Order: sequence, then structure tokens, then C-alpha cells
Amino acid sequence: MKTTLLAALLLSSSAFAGDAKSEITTQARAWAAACNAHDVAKIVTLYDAEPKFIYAFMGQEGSGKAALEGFWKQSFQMTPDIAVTLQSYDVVQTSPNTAMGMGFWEDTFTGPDGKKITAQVQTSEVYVKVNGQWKIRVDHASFVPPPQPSK
Amino acid sequence: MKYAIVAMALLAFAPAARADAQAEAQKLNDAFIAAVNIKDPQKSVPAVLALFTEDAQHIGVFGRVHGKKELLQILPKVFADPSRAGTLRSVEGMQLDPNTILSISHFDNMVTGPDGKPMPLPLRCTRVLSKQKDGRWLISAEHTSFGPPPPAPAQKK
Repeated sequence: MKTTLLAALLLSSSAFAGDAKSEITTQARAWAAACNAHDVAKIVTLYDAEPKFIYAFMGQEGSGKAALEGFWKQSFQMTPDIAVTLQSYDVVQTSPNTAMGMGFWEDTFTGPDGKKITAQVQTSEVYVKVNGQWKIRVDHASFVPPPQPSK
Repeated sequence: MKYAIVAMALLAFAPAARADAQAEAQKLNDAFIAAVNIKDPQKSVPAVLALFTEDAQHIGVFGRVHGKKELLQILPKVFADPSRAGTLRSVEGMQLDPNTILSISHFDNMVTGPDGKPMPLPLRCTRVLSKQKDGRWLISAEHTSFGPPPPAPAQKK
């Protein structure tokens, strides 16, 4: 009986991790869709009440939903054709209510000189479970480094 | 009455948890910088590795790395720079749950620039710290990126 209980517990915990991975990956796809729709209100709903962001392009950092909303409104004004493509996404659950998502993205937009720019971006999102839903607490993006020369 | 006791307990726990999270995040980031600043790479590499869990995730200026074995592949290259020196600028610690702390820190890493002279590289770092069975807090996931330090808080006139 004890063994059965233990097995059931192990199975439920791995199922739980699987659920987290699937739910958070769905959230990442929802973020991409909201970003590509330039839907600032939708983007902000994917974050928890006190989000923090650390972004790549201008080195911006900020906290709070108002700052996040301001950042994205300004970004969409400055780069009205920006589009993101989620290339891959991994999730590591660090506790029952916290996880880190890690993504590779391709961002395309028109630069100030009128030329199309494609940037490879790596991100990490620290997720917390709030009222049964995964929300982003910290969003950190940086450029994918160029390949290292081999010796 | 029962609710009042629970509420009081929660109120008492909240500031204590914040203080602990800040203290633990500060302690770990101090230990990281101290390890980085050990001049002998033979000693600094294991000192840095000791702050990570076995299967830690790292995203940084060398891309994505998973686990201590892969970290061990890149750290000696990083630590071979003779100008290497870290200076911690700020640490913010937040308790996400009893076994998880979120740390956001800023530090300068001195590196040898293209002209051969030392130059500071400002870095921002998000870290997830996980409590171990023995009570230690170790880095289970982190993301470090280049970026200017945040603006200084507004001065009161």
C-alpha cells in the first residue's frame, strides 16, 4: 500500500511538472501572439502584479505594470513593424509554484535607416503561480552571442 | 479569533521573509563576486561552481549552458582574462515561496578590452535561488546580460 502511495505521488509530481511545462509554453506562445498583435493590454495580463523587466535593445529595465505598459507602447511606436518568432522554449520547474522559462526568439523590425533588422534574442522568464495561473514575475532578454571561435 | 491569529502570523512572517530573502540574496551574490575575484583560476572556478546546483541552468554572454559539467567548460575561458575583477553594484532579493528566492543584481566585470586595457563590462543578472536540504541557497537558474546600470534613484531636493 505504501509503495502504491509512493508511486502515485511520484506519478502525480511528474504529471504536475508536465502540466507546468505545457501551461508555461502555452503562455509563451500567447505572449508571442500578443506581441505580434501589438496588444499591450494583453501582454500586461501575462505578468503578475509586480513585474520586473530587463530588456536587450536599449538596456531598458523597469518594474511595475505601468512601466511595462509604457515600454511596450513606446516600442510599438518606435518599431511599428516589429514581429517576434518563438523558435524554441524550455521550462524548468524550480518549485511547485515557481518556474523558469527559457526561449530563443527571432525579432524582425525596420531600423532607423530603413533597413530590415533581424535579431536573435534569448530570454528567461521567471514564472510564479498566482491563483492557479502562471504569471511572469521577471522578464529578461538579451542578444544571443555570436558563435565562439573554436581552437 | 482564529482568523486574527492567522492574520497576525502572516503579517509577522511577511517582513521576516523579505528580510531573509534580501540577506540570502546578498550573501550569495557576495560569495559569487568573492569567488570571481580569486586570482588563481584553479581556485576561483571551483569556488564559483560551488554556488550552483548540479543541473543549474545558465543563460549568458556565452549562450545557454546546462549543468555544472557544461559550466566547467566555459568558466576557465572566462577566468583566463588577466583583468578579471568583479564589483557588485546592487542586489534585490524577493521570496517567491519558502524554498525559492529571486535575486536581481547588477555588477561590473572588468575585462581586457580590444585595446588591451582593462574595461568594465556592466552586467545584469536574474537568479533563482533554491533552498537545499542542508539549508544552503544555491543558484538553480540564472540569466546574465550586458547592459548599463539602472539610473540612480531621484535625489530629494
